[in-house]
Amino acid sequence: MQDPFEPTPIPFHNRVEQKLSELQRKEKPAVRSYRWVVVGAVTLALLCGTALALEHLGVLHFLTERIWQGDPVDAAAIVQPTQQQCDSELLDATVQDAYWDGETLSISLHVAPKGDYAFYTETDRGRDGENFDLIWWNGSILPFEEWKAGREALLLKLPKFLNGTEDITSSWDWVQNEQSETMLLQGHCDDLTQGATLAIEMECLLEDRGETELSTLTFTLPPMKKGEPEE
Amino acid sequence: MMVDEQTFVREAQAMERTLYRISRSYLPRWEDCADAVQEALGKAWAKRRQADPGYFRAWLTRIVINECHNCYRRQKRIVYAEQVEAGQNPAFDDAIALRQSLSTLPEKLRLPLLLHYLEGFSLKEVARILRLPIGTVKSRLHQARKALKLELEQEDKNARSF
Repeated sequence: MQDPFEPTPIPFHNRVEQKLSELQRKEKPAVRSYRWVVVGAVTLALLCGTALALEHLGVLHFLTERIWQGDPVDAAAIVQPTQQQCDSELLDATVQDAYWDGETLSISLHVAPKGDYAFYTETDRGRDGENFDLIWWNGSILPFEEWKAGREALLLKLPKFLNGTEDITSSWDWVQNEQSETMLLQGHCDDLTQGATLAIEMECLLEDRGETELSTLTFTLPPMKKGEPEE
Repeated sequence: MMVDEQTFVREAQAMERTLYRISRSYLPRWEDCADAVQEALGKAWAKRRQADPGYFRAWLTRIVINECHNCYRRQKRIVYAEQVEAGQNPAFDDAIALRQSLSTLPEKLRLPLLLHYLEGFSLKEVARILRLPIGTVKSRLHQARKALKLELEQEDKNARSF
């Protein structure tokens, strides 16, 4: 890439050199590090004392049970759909599992292009706006460097999580798993104790042709138990 | 492992051009760039004992980026102006066109482009500097290249119509 910037101004260079000289002159003696050793030792002693006190009260035992072994309620809060159907001609989309904490329903959604596309999705809702690319060739995922020019780009736009006609979508993001095609879709749901039939509306765009496809993935969840809210 | 004083000074001096370009991509005046870089060097110096020598370049770049954000928020304006008359030096004009086109890109696209293609950071380093997943960096590079190409084509078209 051609360097688009003008040469570094000499005064800029002078100021950098000046700062570096100043920092070296101001270097504090090493004895300061001993103060942090003392602070660290005192903090450690306080933490140990607190841990002993909590152990005496049985709090640590409770936390250990909760964190290391997990709450049996959580396992029951994760379910698979009893049935699902997707009418897209461009995508294979399946709900892998669902988790409900009493307010938010989180589903992991697996999406893959049916054809040989340079596939990517918009993931710009409810989280830091991020996009990612997947390159597919004969059913295998290629690294980005093997992006082949001329392959048609298939974009999955922000899907809608529907409960009947109501759009309950609160966030949509990708699961950070080395270009995995598993996405996390979340929506607001007050009551799933009787189960529900929900839908995900997806719009795909074939970029080069400018053609769009609107499709729906419908799925049914069994009665769900409330899990622990996400932190 | 940590970064000692001599290593810090040596590496910072070697990175001077990089630090100028990165700060310049945010701030229009060299004085502001110098302010941001000086501030960043001071903060980096204070934390040098925690730095990994293997990632010094990426680490210092991240600190400079943060300082540029602070500087920009203090100023709350961006003005891009060229005081050189165009047409006298084609290579220079190309550089100006490229820089102007770069300036139209949003930061989230401009920065990965500069870091990877101009400053030579690997994708992994760019991801580390910007605290993004590698997949996101790759995606933004792709979008940045597309957007820059469109912008340069438009610039060329506008230039021809005069």
